[in-house]
Formats: sequence, C-alpha cells, structure tokens
Amino acid sequence: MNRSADERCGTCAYFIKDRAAIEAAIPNLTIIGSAYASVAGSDGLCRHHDEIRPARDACSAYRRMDDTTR
Amino acid sequence: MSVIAPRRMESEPNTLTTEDWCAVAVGLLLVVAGAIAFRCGLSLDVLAVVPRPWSGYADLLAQVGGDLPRYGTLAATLLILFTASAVALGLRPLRFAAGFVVLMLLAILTLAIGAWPPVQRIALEPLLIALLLGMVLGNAIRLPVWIKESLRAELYIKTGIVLLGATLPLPLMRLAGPVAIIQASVVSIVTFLTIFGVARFLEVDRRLAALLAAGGSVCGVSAVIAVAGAVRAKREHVSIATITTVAWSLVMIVLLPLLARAWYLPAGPAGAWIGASEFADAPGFAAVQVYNGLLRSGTLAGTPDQTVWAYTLVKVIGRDTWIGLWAAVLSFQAVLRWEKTEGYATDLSQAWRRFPKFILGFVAASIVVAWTDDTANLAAFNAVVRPRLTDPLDGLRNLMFTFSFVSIGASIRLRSMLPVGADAFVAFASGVVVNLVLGFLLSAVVFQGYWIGIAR
Repeated sequence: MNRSADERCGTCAYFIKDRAAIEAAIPNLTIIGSAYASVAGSDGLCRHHDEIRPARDACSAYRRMDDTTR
Repeated sequence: MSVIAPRRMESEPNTLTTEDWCAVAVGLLLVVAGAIAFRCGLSLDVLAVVPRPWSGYADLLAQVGGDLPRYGTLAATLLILFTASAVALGLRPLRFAAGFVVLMLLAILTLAIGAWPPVQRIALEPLLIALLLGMVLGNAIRLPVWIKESLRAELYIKTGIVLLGATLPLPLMRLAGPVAIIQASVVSIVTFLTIFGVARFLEVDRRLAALLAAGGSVCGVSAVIAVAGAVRAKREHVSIATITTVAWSLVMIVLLPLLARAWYLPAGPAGAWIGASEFADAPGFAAVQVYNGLLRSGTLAGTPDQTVWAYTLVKVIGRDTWIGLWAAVLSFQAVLRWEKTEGYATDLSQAWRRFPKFILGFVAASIVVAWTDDTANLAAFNAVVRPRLTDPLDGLRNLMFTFSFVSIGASIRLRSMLPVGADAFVAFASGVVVNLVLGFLLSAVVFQGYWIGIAR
C-alpha cells in the first residue's frame, strides 16, 4: 500500500513536531540532550501511539490537521 | 508491510536550524575572528577574561572592576551570538537573552570560586563547582521560565567542542584519528551488544534495550535521541534511557579520574580511557578536567593537553561519529525485522541527517588554526601562536563548558531521578563494566605507547 506524502506522520494531527513541546513531554531530556540537535532528525512525538517517530512514517490512525470529528 | 519511499516533506524541520549548526556558526565565527586578528598582529585576548586567583573580597572586586570593560565586551559578544542562535532555533529571544545574562553571571561566579586558592588546593574543578551551583539553584528555588529558556547545555557544549578543534593540532588528528576510531569502534560495538544482549535476556522491551545500548556505547543522551525515532521508541523508553544514561554519566565524572589516578595512568592513556568509557561529551570533558586537576598535583605523568587531545580524539572523532550509522542500522532492523508494520519508513540517508554536524565545525576549526599557524617549530608556536591565538580560544572554550555545566546542574531535578527499573539498571551496568575494562585494556595496554607519546 502506498500513501501520499501529505498522509505521513509529519502532517498528522497527532504528531508533535514542535521541539520545545517534545522537550517538555520527555522529563530530563534536556539535562545533557536536546530535541534541537541534528541527531533528532525529523522525529516527532506521536500522541496517538505515545511513540517517537520519524516524520516520514505513516499509519492507519492518520488524522488530518483540520479533522474535528474525533 | 509497505515501506514508504522517502521523500522530503515540507513538515520536516530545516536541518540548518539545528543546535549543531548554530554551534558551528558561533564557534567558527570566534575561531575565524581570532585567526584574522592574529594575522593582523592582534589577538582575541580581550574576550578571554576570567577571574585570576584572589586573596580576599576586596582583591576580587578590584580585579573584576579593573577588567570590567573586557567583561562587558565578552558579555556583549556572546549575548549577540547566542541570542541570534536562539532566534534561529525558534526560541524566545528576549527570554533567552535575559536568562543568558544570568547564566553568564553564574559562570563568572563559578570561575571566581574556582580561582580561590583554598578551592584550588583541594583540586575542585570549576566544572564541578558549576554543576553543584546549578543543582543547588535548580532544586532549592523555582527557576523563572525566562532563565530556563537559556539553559541549553548541548548548545554550549557543542560550541565548546568546535572551539576545542582550534587547540587540537591538525596533524595529530590525521595521525591519531585512525587509532582513535579503531579503539572507539571496538568499545562501541562490544558495549552495544553487551547491553542489548543482557537487556533482552532480562526481557526488557527491545526498543528500550536499543536505547540503553546506544546510550551506553555511543554518546549518551544524543544517541538515545537519535535511536528513539529509528526504533519507534515509546516516550517512557526515552525517559528511562535518558535518566539511566545521565545518572551513570555523572557517576563517571568522579569515578574515572579517581581510578586513573589510583592506577597512575599517564595523561594520554587516561584521556583515551575517559573518551572510551564516558557516555556523553560534557560529562566526559568534566572527567578530563578533574583528572587534569589531579595531574597538576604532580604525581602523574604527562600534560593536560595530552589528556584533552586523547579524550577528544577517542570521544568526538571515534565515538560520536557512530551515531548516524547506528541509527540507520537500527532503523532497518526495526522496519525489516521487529515491526513489520505498514507505513514505516527508512533509508540510509538518515546516517547523514542524524550525523552530529558540530564535528564538522570541530575539524574546520583545527584547519583554520593550522592555516593561520606559520611557525616552524614548537618553541615558536608556544611563544607566538599560543598566547595570541589558541590560549584566548581555550579560555572561551572553558567558558562554554562552564555555561554548559551550570545548565546541566540547573536542569537536574533530584526528585525526578527516581529508580528506573532493576532490569534497565542491570543491563546498563553490565555495559558500564565492559566499557570500563575494555576501554582500560585498549587505552592503557594495547595502545599505551601510542597515547603516551601523543604530542603536538
């Protein structure tokens, strides 16, 4: 199955890509780490799965940003 | 399962606005400014101002008062450079600037305490003072949000490492680099497999096992962050691996130098051992400084430069460069073997995307200084280049590390450093033991002669 680029995690309503919000969501991450580092790549926090995921992933729980039905 | 063909997305962050590139920009600006000043017969000495040993408050106040114009120049320069970085990163610039002023005052206070002779006599290094001062402030009072905005330990440590490149001779990097890479690679692979194997034996979730293994074998929390997305780790996995890595890193700051002293390890092997066995860059550098404090007491052989160079070669050149590769390998493992789930994406290009770019700045800084240095021998270097170019950059580097350690201390919440689970602890501890033993054998036995002879 193929998904279009606009249905990947990076554009999903569940996906937190704001780096400040990621740091706030993971206790102690900033002591000697940073969500602003190159090593973080395009990763974000999926609120649906409570997982760190690359923005290029996709899944069946995809939810558009403007989706207010759930 | 379908693996999505990777394609650049508009939602991906601009890779040029990462902390690494900001550190490269700030660090290289300072190095290039120093090189240009040197070529013009000038020096960045005006920026390399730190409290000197003082005998009483009146003495200290007179000293700081006399240097006030230099402190003002230093503060204005760093405030502009780091606030510009904050803007690039999307932080709130006014909050950051206000917090950074406080951070700078705390760093100067730290260095003043460190320059007090009674403190120097007990070899209490300024970085440890910075850590303790930050911890006391961060845990005793509720820090305002605007101060927290400036507590970017990684930004400062990466800038410090770029500046460190200016004091690491380029020929040394070329000559010692391969040995450092071999040593670091052996330690990384064996430690990774040990932690991962023990964790899986203890039935720890394989994603958490991968995070613990990366944190213990590559470069601490940065590796945890790099691998978290690659293996689709749960948020709690990242928390557990982070706390475990931070706790062990802090323990190693004291343990490694004390063991090195107990076994009379000379500076070069000690630096290589710390580089092979510490988990993160910042704590590793603190351990090096603690060892160098002991070195100055006169019972150990070698020079502080040798400790720093050997540490940097093994840790930065040898181990940090592994991050992207580990992330790519684990990503393929996760996508093709562990989670045969629809929609997971992976590709080899992440080895570059996750590569810690500040290492490029570190190498570039060494090249800039090599290009600037036109002296024919060591004596000429020590007489001309050292005081006018590398010593001022060395002073700025120490200041960056001090910023970093105040930030680290102030970010630690002792109440949140709760036990993380016996299995994760045991798995990581097994890696610590392997790391220590293997690192010692390679640094102090196999490559001993090599690291002892490390020199400009």
